[in-house]
Amino acid sequence: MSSSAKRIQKELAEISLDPPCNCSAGPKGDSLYEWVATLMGPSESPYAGGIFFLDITFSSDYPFKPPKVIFRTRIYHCNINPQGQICLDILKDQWSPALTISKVLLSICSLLTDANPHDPLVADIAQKYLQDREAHDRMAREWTKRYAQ
Amino acid sequence: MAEPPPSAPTDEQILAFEQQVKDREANIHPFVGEQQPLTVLQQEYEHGSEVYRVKINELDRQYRAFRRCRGDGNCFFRAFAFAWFENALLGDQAHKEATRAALVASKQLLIDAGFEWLAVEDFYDTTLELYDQLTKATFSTAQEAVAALRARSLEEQGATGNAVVVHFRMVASAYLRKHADDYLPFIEFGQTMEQYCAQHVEAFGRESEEIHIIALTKALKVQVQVVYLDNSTANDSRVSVHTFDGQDETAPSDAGEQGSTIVLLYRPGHYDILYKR
Repeated sequence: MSSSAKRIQKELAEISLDPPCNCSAGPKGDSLYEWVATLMGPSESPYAGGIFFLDITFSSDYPFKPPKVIFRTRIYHCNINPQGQICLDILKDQWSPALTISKVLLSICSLLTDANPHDPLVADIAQKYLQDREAHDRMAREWTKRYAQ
Repeated sequence: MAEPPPSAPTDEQILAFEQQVKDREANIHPFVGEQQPLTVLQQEYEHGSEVYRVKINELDRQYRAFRRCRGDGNCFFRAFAFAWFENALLGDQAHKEATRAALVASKQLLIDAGFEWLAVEDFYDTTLELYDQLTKATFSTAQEAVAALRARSLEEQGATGNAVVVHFRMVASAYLRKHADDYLPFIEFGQTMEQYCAQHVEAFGRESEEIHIIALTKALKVQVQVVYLDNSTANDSRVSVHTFDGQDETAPSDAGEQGSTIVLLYRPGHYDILYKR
């Protein structure tokens, strides 16, 4: 078995046994390299009550390259664009092979609780977040209700 | 914050492009090259700056060869790791035992630093397995031993070599985390040691600074000499050498013998390995 498959299998065993809170993840079908994850909107965020689906793709040089993680559920968030791409440092140049998919999902959960409007992927949502937080949160709750429930 | 014009590339596209350029650059050189005489370096700078040419001539008198490592941001760790293995392979039994003991001790260092074992064990296991297989094998010549090391580090598209690089990154990080109070003054103000380590030491492909070298030499108790080949004309345009000594002061004096010192060639932004005459 290749080193990437061995590592992914270990992570799968771990995440099935001890999933990070409010998340679950596992292979979509037969391929060990294609996963789907679900993430419950954190209770202290405007995404509370929503269930978000994500696609995770591992490459054959995992864990030396980060996994690709994409939101499949629409979400109103300044660091996540309409294509579901996520602006998160550890999924890019700050990836370390000592991170795991559990840690990545936890970081995405924290991103839902605390957005990073100073490094936005969607500029107008970031603007709203900074200028009118209440309106921003109302919109985020609305989208959660519409797309994630 | 104005909306970017529709033709502007997205962050994703910019990053993907940057990665493409990096990959293309990196793929020109193997992770670790063959030993080459310094005349190759002389040719490279034939039309380059006078200072470099003078310094390379000086290097040529002291060093018989150099070995290139790929410029993918991991070059310090890769050069260090290869030279560390090479010294162990070519060293005497006492040196082999000492390096193995330091490697085995690094496991506890990682555990103490709080790393999730599941995420780092493969790298430690691969490094130790490689060490044991190579040091226990019988080679008829030193060249054969080094060729085996190089072949192993390049196998599986470099996965074995990359695992060793990651292990050594984690060792350097664990050392800094453990001695955070001593090294906090040397990192960017306002950053915690955990943040620094995650962003600059553990991140695969992130370039190394002196603090990485200090941490790794101390954690593994080895001596590293960095030979600077740059445009500086201080020191009468002679190459300057900086020694990082991570050995215990209480260690027997022969532990610092030339044979076990790792010598790296530094050109601004890049490390390769040097071999003394």
